[in-house]
Amino acid sequence: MTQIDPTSESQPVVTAASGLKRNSFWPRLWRSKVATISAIIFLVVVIAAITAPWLSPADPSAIKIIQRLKPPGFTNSAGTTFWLGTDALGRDVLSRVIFGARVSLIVGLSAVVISGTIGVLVGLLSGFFGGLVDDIFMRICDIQLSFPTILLALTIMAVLGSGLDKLILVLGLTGWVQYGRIVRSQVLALKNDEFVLAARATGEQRWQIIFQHILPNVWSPVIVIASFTVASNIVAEASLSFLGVGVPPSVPSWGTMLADGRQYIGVADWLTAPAGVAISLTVLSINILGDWLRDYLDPRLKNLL
Amino acid sequence: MNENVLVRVKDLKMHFPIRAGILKRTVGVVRAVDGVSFDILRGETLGLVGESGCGKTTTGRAILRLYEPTSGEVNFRGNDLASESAEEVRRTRRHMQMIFQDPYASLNPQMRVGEIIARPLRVHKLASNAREEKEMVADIMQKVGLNVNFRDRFPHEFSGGQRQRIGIARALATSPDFIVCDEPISALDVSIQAQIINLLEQLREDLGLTYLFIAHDLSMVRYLSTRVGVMYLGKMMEMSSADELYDSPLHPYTKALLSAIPIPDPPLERRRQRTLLAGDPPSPANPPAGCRFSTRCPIAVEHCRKVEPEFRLATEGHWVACHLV
Repeated sequence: MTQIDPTSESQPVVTAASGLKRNSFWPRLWRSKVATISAIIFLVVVIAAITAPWLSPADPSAIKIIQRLKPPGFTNSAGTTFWLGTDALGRDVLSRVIFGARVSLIVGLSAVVISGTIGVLVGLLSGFFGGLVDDIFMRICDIQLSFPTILLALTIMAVLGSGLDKLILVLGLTGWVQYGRIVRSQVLALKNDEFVLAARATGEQRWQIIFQHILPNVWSPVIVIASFTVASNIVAEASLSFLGVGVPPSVPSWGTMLADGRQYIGVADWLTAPAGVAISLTVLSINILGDWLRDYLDPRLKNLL
Repeated sequence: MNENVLVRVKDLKMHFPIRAGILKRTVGVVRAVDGVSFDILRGETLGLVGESGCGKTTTGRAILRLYEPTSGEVNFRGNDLASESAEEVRRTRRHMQMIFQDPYASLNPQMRVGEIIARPLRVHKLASNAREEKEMVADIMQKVGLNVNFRDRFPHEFSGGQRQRIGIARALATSPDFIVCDEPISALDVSIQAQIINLLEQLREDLGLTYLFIAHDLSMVRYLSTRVGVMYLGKMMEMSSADELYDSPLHPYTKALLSAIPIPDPPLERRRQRTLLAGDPPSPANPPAGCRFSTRCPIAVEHCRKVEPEFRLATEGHWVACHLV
């Protein structure tokens, strides 16, 4: 009667054949064609950003008025070819696009790290402890939400003056609200789940419950928001630089390129098109990758993809 | 206190406030558990039965101090848990564990099985190094009939019965004395139920465990329990040894409950006399005066509706709360 048969019921539902190899990161990525293409585009941007000084054919800041507004493919007397043409000051557009990737990625990623860290912490504490902590954090959220982010950033940047570090800080400090709200709502649902009660019954401490039991369960929405905010930060950087309060005009950035090229758009569309295409492709590929990553991180979807 | 008493619950009350409006004012309380007292002896299985919402799960959780009891005493191994600090209780958790009702909700979906079982060992620092921890996890997995090779799988890859085994393994990891089993089989299908029950019974024998077994399946409770307590609307109605309770119940509520058990024999089943209770249990936010059961009791008299009966010893080892017994 008390005999336990270990064979009858202890086989897992999933057979061993589906193996771990098939479900590890790279094979899974490879199976999704859109994600693969996005990953390649993103990788190209990252490599371009890192190797910009060696990759770019010319100095992006070298001004030569004599060869200003030359169309793509122009070769000057010294035999240098400008594949994407030159801008109003005779600078190489291709080199500026390559260097622009640096600014975009640095701003996009660093600001996300700042806003993500603040937002996730606020969301975890607010959702878990509730009460006064929650009320205070959520009212701060409401106040912040009542200002349009770009307007807030514009105002602060106008006061502080332009600069890469200030831009990162401003975008980082204005972007946490989204993380905070989503994480809080997730925590509110999770903290009443039986596995959290089980963790308490086990004798886990509160910080262990928050960071080791609840946090892993909120990663997937955080990663999706992070990917979208990397993208929106890149756009925000471009917009602020376009408006003249982002990075200083001397630094090549996709936003400043758009701003500078705008007045020549009728006669020299090669000034704006490369920067615009670069922004669109980068943002799109990051968004697609974020979407894919969310599915990848959900262990329940592992065998469906 | 008697050497044999592992857990002593004395006048335990667990009231939940009902809050309403923007100011969150307390407009009433739900008396989920309203003064229950009992002992659990070392090595026994105390069954706790009653219909949904009668406070049996709350009792189990309040004993483990997963809820802060409103009042009353819970004495575990000679220490009053209710008066201990949160940190002291946390350390005592090593010796008292819980098996949950829903094997789908009670396992962290992001943790691998090996990790789930290893957590209690880590929290209470029971393994001196990673290798020892691994061995201990493998040992526990074997004990509950889980294939050790599946330690790196996630809970969703297992069936309900296997998941419940994982939950049992987690509860056993710290070698506790006392385990609250909160309807551990009611979410499983019938064939699996028997396996889990047998597993629990075997573990109790092998490891000398003491169970508080909460359930609404009366026949399972009889099979497993040494003694059985019957709860109704936050109060204990009757308590005695399992055989005595099933063979000669005293309380009209117990009689009604037992008459609801189907007999697996069609001719006998057709002749079975059922005591049908009228209506639903009253709200625990507004319990009736006098005896809690008086509104549905088939034999209640005027006195029952005015004076609350005390929980008293009727015969040797048989407690009951009824004026008419």
